[in-house]
Amino acid sequence: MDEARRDFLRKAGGIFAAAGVTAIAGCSSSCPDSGRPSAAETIAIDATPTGPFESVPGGHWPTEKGDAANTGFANTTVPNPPLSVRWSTQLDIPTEDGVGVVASAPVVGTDRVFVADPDRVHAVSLLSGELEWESETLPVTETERYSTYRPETIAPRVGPTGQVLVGLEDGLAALDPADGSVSWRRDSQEAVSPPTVVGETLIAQGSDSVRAYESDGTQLWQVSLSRGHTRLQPAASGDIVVLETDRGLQALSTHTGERLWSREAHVESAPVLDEGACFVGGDEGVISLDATDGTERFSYTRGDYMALQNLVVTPDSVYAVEQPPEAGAAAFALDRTASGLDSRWCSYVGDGVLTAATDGQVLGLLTLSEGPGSERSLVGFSADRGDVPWAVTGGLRSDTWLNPPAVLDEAFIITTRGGQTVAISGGE
Amino acid sequence: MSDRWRNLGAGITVTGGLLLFIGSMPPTWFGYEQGDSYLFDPAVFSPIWIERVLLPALVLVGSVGLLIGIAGLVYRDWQESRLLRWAGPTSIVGAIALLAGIYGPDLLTTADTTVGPIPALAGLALAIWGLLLLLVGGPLLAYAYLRIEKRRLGWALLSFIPAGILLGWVFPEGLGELAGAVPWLVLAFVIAMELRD
Repeated sequence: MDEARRDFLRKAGGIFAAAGVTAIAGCSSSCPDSGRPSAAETIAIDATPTGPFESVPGGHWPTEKGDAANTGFANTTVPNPPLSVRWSTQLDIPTEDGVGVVASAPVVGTDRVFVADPDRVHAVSLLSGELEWESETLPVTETERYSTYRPETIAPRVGPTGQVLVGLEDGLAALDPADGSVSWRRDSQEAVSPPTVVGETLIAQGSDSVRAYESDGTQLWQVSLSRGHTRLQPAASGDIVVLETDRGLQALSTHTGERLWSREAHVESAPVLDEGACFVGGDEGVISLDATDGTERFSYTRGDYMALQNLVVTPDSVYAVEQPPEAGAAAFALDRTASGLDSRWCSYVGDGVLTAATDGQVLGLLTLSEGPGSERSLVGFSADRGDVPWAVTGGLRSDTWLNPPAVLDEAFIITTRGGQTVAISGGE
Repeated sequence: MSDRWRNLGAGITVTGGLLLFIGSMPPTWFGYEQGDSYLFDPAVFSPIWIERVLLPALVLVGSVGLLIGIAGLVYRDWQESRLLRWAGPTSIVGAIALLAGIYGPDLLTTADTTVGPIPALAGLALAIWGLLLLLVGGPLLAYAYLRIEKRRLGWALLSFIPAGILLGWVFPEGLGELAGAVPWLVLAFVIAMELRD
């Protein structure tokens, strides 16, 4: 009896020890940096505007992730400190108990900024921030709530001829960028994600189907496909579009909708296409797949239980956020090499995310201090060392939380969840 | 112990003391600034590399040098006192365990990740055990040398840690670490002189 009890206690001890070690192993980031970054210079999003731009800033930001491939890369330079707010416009968005928290991230067309809320699309002048139009009532697709850094409404998408494409709870609409009038509308899908564009082809993913349209709204093809819960923009490049499904990822031909390959995965952030590769972030780390046939080229992991998400891909780097199960996240800058990825720097970001990058900087949304008094900020990390030369601080209330920015030449556009739309450039 | 070995031991000890002192140099003196992020592969001889790789290596090698000097003294004076025969090995084993606990987990971990939970806990346990041995053995070793009339060495062994803490506290941040290393340098010279006597 005593022998049996000792044996039981030994086994139980072993199990508890293994469980303890497993729990501890998943409780901390693999990044040796443990302190939040401190910005050399900060500017508040509600700082006094200095006046309109002298000329319309160059650059393109037609989608929330910057392009059809979801890279988040802007081939431009962000403004250098000292930063200044050029203009600030408060959009009229729906409120609940007097507070509105439903504005989307901004996208930028030729000379206008477009922002959606669950009821309509707003257009403001890129030059001055003046409100130019508001669309008729449209049921714009909403995302899941309670996501700290993802807006609750999907962003519009600037189409190939400049029209504003909007994923709707009941289909897809194309708006005239000049006045916001509906050019055409299709109501044959549910909860359409931000549409993606390849050449002249628009691809819209709803909850149970994918449809391709010409820019005039003529349907090209359709495929039945059950989507996952995240309502992400499909990644498209050339002949291939990669979409989120309820089981992982599915690649289709952009020309015919033919199924090319699929992969089971737990998808929490958008797949990215770049240079013939499909980058996927998830529980297994960053995986690079051959975009044409889905075969694995390489994988990069920071260890067991260390998910890598929110990929931003530039020509020479991959940026990802490591999310341990029970600890704060860390942003990783990874060098792209011939054989895979090499760590360059990492930085503790708490519950933050990375949203975009240029050759010189990567932008993240995070809080710069701990506790209830910490303001959610847009932070610029230098690409080479991860230093933080500047930050744009939002506020404490949820309607002052910042959405992912649109990155232009020497300027960026930011919205708050409460609909404040702000243009920022380098100081005078 | 032959003169040759005594001189060699004295040289190693003084070198160790100097390395410890250099290893305590304020990082700002060689241009190091605390960054916002952790850089994985800093260039050799860059300020980050000096702060992260070179100075800890100097401190480790310097500590080993000092330890060799103390071990040489204990070996030489083995027959002098029973207390010394207990306190000497206790102090040396404690110091080795403390160094292994502090530096071991880092040395066993690849450069691009944090120390795992098991090496960290093992290192902590080893360091605590080593510290306890040192806290017992160190003062007893100093007392043993005081009892055999080697007062200079006895007082140096007894006072270098309190003096280091005091100087580190008195001097401003940055310079305090360097000032705190002065008693270690003095101890190294005292040990070297004792070895050559």
